[in-house]
Amino acid sequence: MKATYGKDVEFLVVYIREAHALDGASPRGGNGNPLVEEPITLDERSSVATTCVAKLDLGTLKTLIDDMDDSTSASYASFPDRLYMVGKDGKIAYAGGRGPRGFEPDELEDSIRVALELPPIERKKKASGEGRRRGGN
Amino acid sequence: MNLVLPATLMALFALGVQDDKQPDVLPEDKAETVWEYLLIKYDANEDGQVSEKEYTRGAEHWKRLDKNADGFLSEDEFASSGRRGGRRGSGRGAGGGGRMAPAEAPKVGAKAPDFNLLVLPKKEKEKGAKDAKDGKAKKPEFVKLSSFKGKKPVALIFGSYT
Repeated sequence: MKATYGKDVEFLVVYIREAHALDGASPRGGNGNPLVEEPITLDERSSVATTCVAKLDLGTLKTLIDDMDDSTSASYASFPDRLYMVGKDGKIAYAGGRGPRGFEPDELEDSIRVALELPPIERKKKASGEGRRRGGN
Repeated sequence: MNLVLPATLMALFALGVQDDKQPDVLPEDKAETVWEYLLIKYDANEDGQVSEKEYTRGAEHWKRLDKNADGFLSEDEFASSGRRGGRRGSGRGAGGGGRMAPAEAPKVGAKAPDFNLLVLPKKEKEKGAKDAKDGKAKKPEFVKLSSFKGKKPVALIFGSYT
């Protein structure tokens, strides 16, 4: 999506509090899931974000680190993950549902295309449960 | 991000890897479970358990780990770790979102809450090495959301590694 729209839309990853730190409130880790302790400092959060960017090949995206008081995450009710689009007017143009169930990249793309006055993409209607992911946060 | 989010992001974006610096995460090939991770990292006297004295990340995190509150972490406390449904710690549920109470999500048409956040630096290997040699510290970069107003729309992707 960034390759397609990146010249006209700024894509920003906002790295927030871990959803499943092994010492967090909803611990998970091992058995293929990353083993991460909940960062205590901004440096620690940045360090984990660096690992995340490397492991997920997100190096082409600009990643921002939320402050340790999680203020930006809170103002967007974004935990554990969420998509938004902010229009050129500074207003919310798209507000996705809370992840994982509400995390819908197709909806974000549709919103981008509206903003750029591009024709909509014809999408096949998803079957119930398709595109939803198991497990999650 | 857990395996859920990474798959989503990988579906969204073109790839390019820049490994910036050594992460503060044990390499996954050294620990496969939560218990292995804790043992490797904290069991300084190698007695097969982790005492509160050996643990270095503070009382709040200790309390979440010491499920039976006996002052030690032992393997049987983490028998179900790695699967969903480990004992929940105090404070935050799935909607908790951190130290601040969860707010209502801003709606379409509302002014986007502004922020000014630190940019995760990308390593420019040669420049970085030269600057380090010259004693120049990298200046931290910040991005303010409102700086894009009137210029271009902004797609925000909120998430984490787990």
